[in-house]
Amino acid sequence: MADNGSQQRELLYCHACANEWYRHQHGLQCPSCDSEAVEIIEERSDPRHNHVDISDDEDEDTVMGNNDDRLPHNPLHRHNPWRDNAPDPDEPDIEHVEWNPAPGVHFARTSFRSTGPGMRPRPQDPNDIFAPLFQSFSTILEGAANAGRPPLRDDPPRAVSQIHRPAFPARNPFPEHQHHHIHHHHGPWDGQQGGRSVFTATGRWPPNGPGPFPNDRNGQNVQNVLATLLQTMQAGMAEQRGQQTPVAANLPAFIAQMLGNGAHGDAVFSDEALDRIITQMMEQTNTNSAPGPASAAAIAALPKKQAEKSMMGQDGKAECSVCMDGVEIGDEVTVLPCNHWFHGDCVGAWLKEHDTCPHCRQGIMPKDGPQQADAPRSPGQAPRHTLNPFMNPIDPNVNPGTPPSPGSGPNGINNQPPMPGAFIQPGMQQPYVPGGYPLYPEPTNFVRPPGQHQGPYSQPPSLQQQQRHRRRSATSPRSSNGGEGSSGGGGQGVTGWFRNLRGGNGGNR
Amino acid sequence: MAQKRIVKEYSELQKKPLDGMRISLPSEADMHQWQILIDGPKGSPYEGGVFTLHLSLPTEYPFKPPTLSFKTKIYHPNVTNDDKGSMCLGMLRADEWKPSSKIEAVLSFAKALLLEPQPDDAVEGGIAREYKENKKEFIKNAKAWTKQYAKK
Repeated sequence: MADNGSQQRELLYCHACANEWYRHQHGLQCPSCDSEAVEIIEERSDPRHNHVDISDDEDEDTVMGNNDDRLPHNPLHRHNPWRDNAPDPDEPDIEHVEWNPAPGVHFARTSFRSTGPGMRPRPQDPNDIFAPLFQSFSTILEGAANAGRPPLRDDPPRAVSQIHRPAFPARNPFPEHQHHHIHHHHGPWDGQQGGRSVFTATGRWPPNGPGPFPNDRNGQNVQNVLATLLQTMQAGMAEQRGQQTPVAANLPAFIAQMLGNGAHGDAVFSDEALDRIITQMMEQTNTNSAPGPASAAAIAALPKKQAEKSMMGQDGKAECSVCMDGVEIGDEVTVLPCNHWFHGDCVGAWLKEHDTCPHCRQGIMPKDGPQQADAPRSPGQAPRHTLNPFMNPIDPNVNPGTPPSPGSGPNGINNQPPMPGAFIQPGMQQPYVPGGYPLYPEPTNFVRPPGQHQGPYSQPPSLQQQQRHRRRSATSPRSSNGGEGSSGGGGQGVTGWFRNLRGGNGGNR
Repeated sequence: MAQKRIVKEYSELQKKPLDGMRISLPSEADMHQWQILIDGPKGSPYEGGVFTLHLSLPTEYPFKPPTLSFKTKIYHPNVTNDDKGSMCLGMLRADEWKPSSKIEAVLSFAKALLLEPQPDDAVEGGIAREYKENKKEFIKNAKAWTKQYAKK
């Protein structure tokens, strides 16, 4: 070893011509090509690994610190599998993969890892360093074998230590169907000199195996198995990197995220992962496009009014739909441009976060005008936000308070969503609609005010219909076209009818 | 506000229970965690089973939506087949939630979803595909799971 005068014994490497020489002999300039692009070869930073030229130097092994493997013709002489981040093609990472066809797919993977002698400091007991890695590898495999389980939309990236078996007590749907065998074989370079690890992972796909699991998943099986294998392989690669770098502490989280997502970087391995990413993007987009708060000035400027008899339900009762407290005649309420009313504090608390009516989801801020308007829109003005896809925006040319003329068909009431329970009393100039609940005993007892559309009373729309709407509204949150609803049989508002009905609200303008 | 409204909704639902549902509080001290037992609706493959659901109401309720999850494993396109059992309900999404929605509506919706799964809005793609393409097999599996996991 070059313990004495190590500075003079420093080995230099020329990046231009791959020449190597000792510093004390030729200095810091390449004696061969006069290049100054040279680097001192150190144990931790060896620039030669990118170069295939491994011409032997008589004294080099003293730098490498080993004399016992000086086999000039050994092709693995100086081979360091940990040098590269990418797996070395010479290294049989995947020894074999066994697939056992349906009903489940069995796969097994064995990988051999060699650590070259003396390439990095090793602790006295190699098990100390391997034990946590084995543990995480085992967890990885468990995660991989379960990777087909769809991720939750709101599933946060899980740390390895948090990956757990499904917690259906006493009837674990994922019994012991995966087996991890990880052996650490001490090779010829054991102890200080390196080691050889054999990782064998077997699993079965689908994890549930035959049984009540959907048979039609077979179509996904190959895909999922591939995804699982890819994940396992990548996990192995990541682990190699982890052994090489001191930042291995981040590794479990990285792997967990990768496996938990069924995705690695820009690559996704399963439909669920793709769906998850799309959902995530949609959520992020929604965060950006979701209505922000209404301005404090506009909230403060909302008209207030004393509750009056016409605002009560048929049984003479009404309540604020935010706090669900009853509202008596004479109580002060705040009226939104959409004519829904609430307690001032209640609706203010909501509006300062979301510029939507708590009931019909139309905003109070004017569509046109400054972003920080200090006054709410007038009832005839289009809202900046309307998240209710079942409701057309208000046509400013139409007095929203005017009930449709008798006999007008569903098409004639586009500006007047005929939601059951709309409190449009005959002769009422400005129908106030309680945002609260007129306390009807049963939704089916809704009585359509006279003069409303004559179409057949709509059945609650199917969930299918509603969910279709929901989808559309999710992709286009500001979509204000309630067109499809008009095919639902009872005018445009059938889905909204259901929504409002289920929301327990009678009122909708 | 949350506490008061939750108490009110809870007592209303106790007074006038929803058909086929029993609501209780796992801990009397915590009004924000509800346990709901839903009978599998008649005519659905879940008939005969009892499903335990968990409703979690945030402290910001009703300004933030509650979350609903199945504690009983269920074979359904809109319920995740994992330890969370999350149910995909549009009205509970943060961007679709509105404070005037009541818990009663959420639960009614959940029950309606048992009667009429929404394969186009599924969280379990495989089950959704089966529901659409091989209803018979879906019903068979759903019944088997009901028998296995949702026994009364």
